[in-house]
Amino acid sequence: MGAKLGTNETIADLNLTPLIDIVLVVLIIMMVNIPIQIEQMGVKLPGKVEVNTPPPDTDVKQLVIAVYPEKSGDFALALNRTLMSEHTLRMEVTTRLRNMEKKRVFVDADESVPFGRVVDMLDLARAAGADAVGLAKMKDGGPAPYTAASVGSTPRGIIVGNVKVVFYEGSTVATLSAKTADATIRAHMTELMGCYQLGLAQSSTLTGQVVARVDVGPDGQLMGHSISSDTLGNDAVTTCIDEQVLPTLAFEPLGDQNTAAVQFPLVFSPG
Amino acid sequence: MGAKLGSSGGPMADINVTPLIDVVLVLLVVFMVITPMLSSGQNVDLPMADEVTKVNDVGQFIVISVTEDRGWWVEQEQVDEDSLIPTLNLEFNHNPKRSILVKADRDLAYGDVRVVMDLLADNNWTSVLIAAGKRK
Repeated sequence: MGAKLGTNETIADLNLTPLIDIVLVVLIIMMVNIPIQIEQMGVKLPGKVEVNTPPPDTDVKQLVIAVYPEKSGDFALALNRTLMSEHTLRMEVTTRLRNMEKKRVFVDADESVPFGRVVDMLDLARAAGADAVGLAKMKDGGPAPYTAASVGSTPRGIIVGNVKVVFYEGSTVATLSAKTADATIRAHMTELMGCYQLGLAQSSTLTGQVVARVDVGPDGQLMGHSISSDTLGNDAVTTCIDEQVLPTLAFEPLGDQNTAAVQFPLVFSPG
Repeated sequence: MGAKLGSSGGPMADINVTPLIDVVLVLLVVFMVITPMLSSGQNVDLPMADEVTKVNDVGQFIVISVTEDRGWWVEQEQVDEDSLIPTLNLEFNHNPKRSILVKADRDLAYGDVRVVMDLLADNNWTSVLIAAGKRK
């Protein structure tokens, strides 16, 4: 491509082949990248959000996550006006949603909270299993004030009373005593809490005592389970304990035709 | 660039490379310019979330953007408190099947975004979609 002019000069020819090669490679790279970029730009949504849902009552089973700005610049989180850490909040919401049929969560925040933080809460609610997420109507002074939860892992408690073991037939066996039975029921504390949450979802001040009874046979198998007494007054909770927790209790074999009855008094209090 | 071989005689066509390169470079530049324009609404820093569903943005949303400087936009048109609803109604009349998508910058105060949503809710748009980025 070098044209020779009249004078005797050397003219450098641009070597075009590698130039075209490079340009075509760059073009191909762009053509491959663009669909990927278009993919990433697709709109991503944390689902439909209901705006301005009416302020929920605290008695009806609803979950309200509220975000408050703290003076330190950090943010306080509360579930149904009970202050808790994000980790506890996540666990509480997941547990409660599991027991609710209409899985709705409301998120409320003070107007100075950054929007990203509110979306985090919406995200948390969805990750915990909420089907419908709503933004509660904003009030002038911010969300309703919170109260600090009592120190401990969960704000509501079950106290295991004096466990009684009575041997009906045969002699007492060392492997089944009040202490071991106590340990057995404590191993199922999470399930018991789950049952209690069922009742708490309906009435947040549910208090009472439930005495559960289990009959153990010679092989350690359960021969029967029942609720001996109940001052809780909530059928959902007692049925849950009777049908879902008691049958899962495991005992050591008693041997030799021994049978025993074990009584667990459980005191439920909303903390 | 035409190589003359020994035995062949006759005219040989040389590919004229200059226009080829021109065309290729133009294509390249066109691609580089078009790509940023493909997203709808204004450019905002979306809040990040994990539980997001991806939807292909093929025009089925009316995009309301709230930019970092607290400006409100319906699609590409800037609106304010008074013109938000009329503009929205106009867009909605074009195609009533569209739902509303709110693209808000993540650093905005909740109040700034809420004010837009309140306005929407007062006019019976109570179900909105919020755009978020996927947290990696």
